[in-house]
Amino acid sequence: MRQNWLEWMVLGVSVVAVVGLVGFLIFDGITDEGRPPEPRTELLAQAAYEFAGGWIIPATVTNDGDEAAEALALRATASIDGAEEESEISIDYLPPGSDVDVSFGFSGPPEGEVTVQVVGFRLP
Amino acid sequence: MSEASKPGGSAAADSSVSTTARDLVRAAGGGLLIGLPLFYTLEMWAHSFLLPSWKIVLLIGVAFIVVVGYSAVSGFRRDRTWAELLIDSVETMGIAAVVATLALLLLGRIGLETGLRDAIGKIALEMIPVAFGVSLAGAQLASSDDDPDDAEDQGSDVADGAGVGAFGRLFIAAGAALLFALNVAPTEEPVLLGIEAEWWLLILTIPASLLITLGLVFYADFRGGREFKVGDSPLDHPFTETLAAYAVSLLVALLLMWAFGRTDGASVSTIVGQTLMLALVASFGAAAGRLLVGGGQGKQQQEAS
Repeated sequence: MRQNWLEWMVLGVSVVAVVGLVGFLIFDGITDEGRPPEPRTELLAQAAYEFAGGWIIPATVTNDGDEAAEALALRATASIDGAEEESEISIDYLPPGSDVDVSFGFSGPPEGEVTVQVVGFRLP
Repeated sequence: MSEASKPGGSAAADSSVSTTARDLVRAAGGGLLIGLPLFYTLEMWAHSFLLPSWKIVLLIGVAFIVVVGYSAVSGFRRDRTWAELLIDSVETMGIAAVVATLALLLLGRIGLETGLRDAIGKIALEMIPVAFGVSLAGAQLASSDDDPDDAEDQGSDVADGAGVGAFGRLFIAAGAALLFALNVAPTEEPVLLGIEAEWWLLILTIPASLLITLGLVFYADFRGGREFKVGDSPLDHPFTETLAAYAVSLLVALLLMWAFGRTDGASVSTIVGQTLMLALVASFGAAAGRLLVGGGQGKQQQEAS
């Protein structure tokens, strides 16, 4: 017999926590289609800024797949003062469904479009 | 463990809210004490999304069995029914989940920007060592209709020790081995140790582990250690028990290496190497676990028989 309200509360919270956690994981396991990592980069051009060492363009990288990508490498290409310039970044882990904030650096403000390409990643 | 559960046992006679609150604080404290190192382990964070959901569920299932088994074998509130035992164990897991969530929030490992699956995975993994700690703190808050005498007898009652048979002891050994080995299993180190060790070093870990654990349990005169005596069951001999505990440690090590994806695509020699290296740690846990349930009672029990 539970003997006071606090014990009842602990039991209630415990059941909800355990059933919720395990239930979610089982649901996730069943609905998981095992899609490979799909890194998607969204450049935040309006948040770009200049600093003494050049030009920074922040970006958000999202994984639309079901699996994590390890050691993900991204390369941004832009044209600056008529010359093509590349900026590379690597991300240790990109979990599925999670966002990672990164920044690309260039020598100056890019002209035209900045393109981002996935160089590669490792599967866990 | 009988030491740890003693205060809980005597306090449990009183069923006021303040007693429950004290039980809760002890449970959370015990959980953090055991679980904290793994909150500071990078691999634990990463494995929350690197491991498939079913593997995390399986690990939680194993942890739950250990928690139930520990409560059943340790003699803490022995007069409980199975339903009460299960309810206590669910509470242990629930408290662990809440403690793990709060700790991960405080450490900035989960937040609003964390993906749901990632956050749930982190909580689910980190709550495992916490649950062991809660369990050890002897703070299963439940059905406390046991009287103070019963609870106080806990640490010294010969009957308690007699209740832990050779298999019960092995079960506790397995749980403690899991708890110990879990602290290093997620990291890279066992793999590196296994790969880089010379073959004769790997072989040496076996006698080293056997001798040290034999000494810890039967010779070093720790509290809970037992005398070098032969019992009735084939497993009640110091040599066979040590050997069986080592075998259990090997299994636990292999299970953990597999659970953390270290066996995927690995060669047999790599798997054997890392399992042996991790089993060294696991066997220490197994010895500590046997010391805990031994509780000095085994000695009296064997003298009596």
